[in-house]
Amino acid sequence: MPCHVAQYGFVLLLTLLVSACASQVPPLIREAPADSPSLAQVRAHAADYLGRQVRWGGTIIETGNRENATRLTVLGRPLYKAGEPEATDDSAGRFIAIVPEFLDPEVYAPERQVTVTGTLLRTEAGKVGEYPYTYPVVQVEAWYLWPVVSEQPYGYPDPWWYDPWYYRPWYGPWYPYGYPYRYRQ
Amino acid sequence: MLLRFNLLAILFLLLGACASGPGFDTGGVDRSLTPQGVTTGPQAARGKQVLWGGAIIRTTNLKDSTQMEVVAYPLDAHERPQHDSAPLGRFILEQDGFLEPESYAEGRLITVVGTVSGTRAGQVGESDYDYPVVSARRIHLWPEDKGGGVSFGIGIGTSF
Repeated sequence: MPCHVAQYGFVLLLTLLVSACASQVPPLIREAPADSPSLAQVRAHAADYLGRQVRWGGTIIETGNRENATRLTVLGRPLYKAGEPEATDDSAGRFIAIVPEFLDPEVYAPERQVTVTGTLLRTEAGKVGEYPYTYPVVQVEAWYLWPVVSEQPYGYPDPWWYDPWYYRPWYGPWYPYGYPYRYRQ
Repeated sequence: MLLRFNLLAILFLLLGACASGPGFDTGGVDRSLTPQGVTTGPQAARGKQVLWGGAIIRTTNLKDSTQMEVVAYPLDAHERPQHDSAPLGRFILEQDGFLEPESYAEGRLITVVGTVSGTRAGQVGESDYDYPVVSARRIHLWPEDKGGGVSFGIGIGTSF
């Protein structure tokens, strides 16, 4: 009964797709540490917050590989509740994240979004162009590189988009034989 | 009912988002003065208030100020630069303090209200170029246009 095989395969595929939506984000990234200071607070009065747990994220500016660690320079962005950086120009400034292992700079590349959790270690004086800049430095315990493909192609749900197959995927155009190529015998 | 109300609210928000501009106080601004106009008559232009906009070519952070090189374009009704129109020349923007070069990045659109402080000799490639210099009073960075903004999709659905 080839049509049952096709149907079973389709359900299996669906299950796989649905489970792909389940979160791979580490719990330390998904939930902000209690009483965690914001990047804006730390950039203003870093000394008051040294040693505190922070959860910050944003856009990678630079990735530097050291002998046993990777230094990420990140342009901080506001985070959604689940830890993902918002796509906005609203930024409280830059910070440096020290990750205790090798991260491939081709993967952790400029423009990618990353969120880290860790301890506020110190501040570091640097320069942006000729402008003196004080970077907060975070010793990272958990981190997450956000996937490039956004689930909403326009950044928000398109109110006019209506997928005619959405509610009855099993009545799709291939019903009842399934997608005609993959399961052909 | 509630759903319909929400949809209406979203519609209004979206429409509102389209109209949002810098909302600058443009009193005293000489709207006829373009960067090219300043280059041809720098004496008369000094001290004049301008409302210009364009695409960022580069942002340079100095010790206590930020300099931006911009290609000017005509502004639309919301004071947003129309970068598919013919450019109006380059200018240099000066602002006290730090502006993040990763945000004020190449290709991003800005609108600025400020004062013409003079011209500065520079070069584009090997060609001499007189840049009008504007001291910024307020700068508006336009949100990045990610894939077309609001899209109206019409779906045709059939089901068996």
